[in-house]
Amino acid sequence: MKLTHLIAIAAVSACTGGTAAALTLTVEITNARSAQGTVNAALYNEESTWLKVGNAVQITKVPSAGDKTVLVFTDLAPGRYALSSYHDENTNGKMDTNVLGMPTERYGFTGSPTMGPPAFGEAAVDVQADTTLRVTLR
Amino acid sequence: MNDILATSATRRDTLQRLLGAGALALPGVTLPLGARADEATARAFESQRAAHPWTQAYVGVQADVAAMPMTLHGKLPTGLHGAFLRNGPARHALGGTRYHHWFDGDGLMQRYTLGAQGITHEGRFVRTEKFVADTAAGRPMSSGFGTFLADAKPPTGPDSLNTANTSVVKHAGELMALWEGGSAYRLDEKTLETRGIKTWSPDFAGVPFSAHPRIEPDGTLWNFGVSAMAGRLAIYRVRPDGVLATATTLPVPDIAMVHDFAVTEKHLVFLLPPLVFDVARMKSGTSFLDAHVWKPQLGLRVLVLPKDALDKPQWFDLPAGFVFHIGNAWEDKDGVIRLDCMRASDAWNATTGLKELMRGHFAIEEFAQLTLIEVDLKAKRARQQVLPQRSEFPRIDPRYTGRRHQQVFAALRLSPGDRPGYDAVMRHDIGRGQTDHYRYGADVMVEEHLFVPRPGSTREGDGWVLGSALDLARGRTLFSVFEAQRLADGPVAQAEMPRLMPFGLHAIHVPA
Repeated sequence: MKLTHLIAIAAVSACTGGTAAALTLTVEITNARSAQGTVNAALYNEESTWLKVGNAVQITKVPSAGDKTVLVFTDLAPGRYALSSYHDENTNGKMDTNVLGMPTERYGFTGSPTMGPPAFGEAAVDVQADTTLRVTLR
Repeated sequence: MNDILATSATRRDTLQRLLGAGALALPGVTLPLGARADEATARAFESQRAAHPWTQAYVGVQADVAAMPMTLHGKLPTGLHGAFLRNGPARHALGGTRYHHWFDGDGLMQRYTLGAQGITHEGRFVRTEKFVADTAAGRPMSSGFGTFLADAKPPTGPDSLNTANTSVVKHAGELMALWEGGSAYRLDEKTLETRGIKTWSPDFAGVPFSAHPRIEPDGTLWNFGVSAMAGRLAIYRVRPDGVLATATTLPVPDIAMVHDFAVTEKHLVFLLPPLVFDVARMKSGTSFLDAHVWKPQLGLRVLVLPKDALDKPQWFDLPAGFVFHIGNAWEDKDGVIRLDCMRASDAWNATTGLKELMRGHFAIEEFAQLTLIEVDLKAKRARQQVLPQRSEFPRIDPRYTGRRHQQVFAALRLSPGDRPGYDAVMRHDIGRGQTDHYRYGADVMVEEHLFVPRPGSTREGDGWVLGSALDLARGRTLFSVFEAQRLADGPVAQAEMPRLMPFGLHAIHVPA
C-alpha cells in the first residue's frame, strides 16, 4: 500500500514539478466531421510568429480519430502557448477554402472562439504544468 | 492538471457580453440566459393560443408527417397529375426551446400527390446537419437566422445553421430543398429522403445559393447568394443539363438582405433594401437578422448586371422600402426593364412582425403591396408605382420568365381581420390594371398559390392555379385547383384533410 502510494507520487513528480522545463501539453480535438485524413496543428508561443507555421514551436499531424483526436506536445518550457489546428480531411496538406475565403474544412484554436482567426492573445493559454486543453473544431 | 474547455469559455464570454450590453434583463437567476429567453417565447405563445386560432399555423410539427389521402370534391384535370411540393419552416420548438423568428424552424418538405386516385398528402423533414444535431441533443444546438442562443455551439460555417426550409426547385432531374444562407440540399424525389449538400464546384462549396433561383424557358438556371460576412454577391449560371456554366462573386458595398432577384433576357436585377449587414454587430453576439441595420438614407438600391458582363454593375435608386419577392422582370425594346414585386415601406415585418408571431402576437402594420418598377437603362433612372393590393408570394406563368408577361398570381389580403396572412388568391393583369380574385374567407389562411400551364397551350395564363390553405376554424388543410382565368368562380376541385399543417413558404409543381 505504502509502496504504491510512493510510486504514484513519483509519477506525478515526473510529470509536473520534477521536470519543470519539460512540460507536456495534451490537446483534445473534437467535432471533426469524419475519421478520414489528418488533424494538423501548430503550436506558437509569441505574437510575432502567430500563424506563421514555419516559425511554430512545434507542429504535428495525427490521423483523425473522428470524435476525439489527441495531440501531444512534449518538452515545452513553461509559458504562454496558442494552438491553431485544422482537419485535413482530404490530406492535400492545406486547409481548403471556398471562393469567399471561408474554410471548407474544419478548424479550431485554443482560447475562446471568435469569428475569424483570433489574435495570439485571445488564443493563448498559460502553461505552467502539464496541461490538457480541448479544442472544438468549427 | 488544468482542464480548460473552450466551450465553457465561450459561454461565459458571451454571457458577459450580453450582461455588459444590458441586452437582457429577465427575472430569475437559476437558468442560463438563453434558456430563459426561449422558455419565455414558448410561454408567451402558449398563453395566446386559446384566444387566437391563427396561432395554430405556427405551432409546428415535431416529426415526419405520415401519408394521408385527402377528401376530394370535384375532379382533378389529368394534365395536372404529378406532385405539388411545398417547403417551409415547421419544427418551431424543441425540448422546450421555441425559436424567436418564424424563419428558424427546420424545413418540412410537404408533398401533395395529384393523380387519378385523388390527392394524398405527406411530409418529411430535411435531414440537415442542424436537424440531425438538434434532434440528437433534444434541443436547438445553434443559433438561427433570427434566434440568438447564448449557449449555442459555434457555427462551423453557414451550412451548420442551414435549415433548408425556404423553397424547393427541380432542375436537370435533381430535386433540392433551398435556404438562402447556404447550400442547397439534394433530396430523393420518390422518398423525399435527404441525400446531402449540393456542391456546384469545389470553389463554391458552402457559398450561399439562394432560395429563389430563376429558370429560363430554355432550362438555364440562374441564382445568386449573399455572403454578408464577405460583403459579396455570388452569381450562378447552370446549364439545362445541370452543369455549372458560370460562377462568380462581386463586392457589394453596404450589402443588404436580398431574398429574391429577377432575370430578363439580357440582365439580372436585384433590389437591395436598406437593411444592411453590420459585421461589428454580428461579432458582438446577436442573431444574423439582428446584425442588420435599417438605413433608409440608402434608399432601395437597384443593381442591374448584364448577363454577359457580370462585373459591370449598374446602379439605380428608388425610395427606401423592403422587398422579399419579385414576380418577374422583362425589358422592352427601348431598354426599360419592367419589374413587379411586393414592396413594404420598411422592414418591420421581417425584423419584428415575424418574431412577434412566434410569441403569439399579431400587430397590424403595413403589409407589402404589389408594386410596378421601371428601370430605364438609357435615361439612367428608376421609378415605382405602388398599387393598392396587399399581397405576397407573387408567381407568374413560368414560360414567361424573363420575357414580357402581363399576369401576376399572388396571395391577397382582403379582410381577414385581426390575424396575420392572406384570405384570398388573385390574378392581377398588369396591362389592364384589373384584378380577379377568389376569397376563401376570413378563417382561411392562404398559402402561396402557383400557376401551372395547361399542357399543349402557349398562351400566357392558360392553365390552372393551385395551392393550399389552412382552414383555421375547422382545423383542416385545403388544396384547391382553379381555372387560372376564372378565379372568381371558385375552385374546380378542392381536397381537404383533418389536420392543419404549419404555414409554409414556397412550392413547385412537378408533372407526373
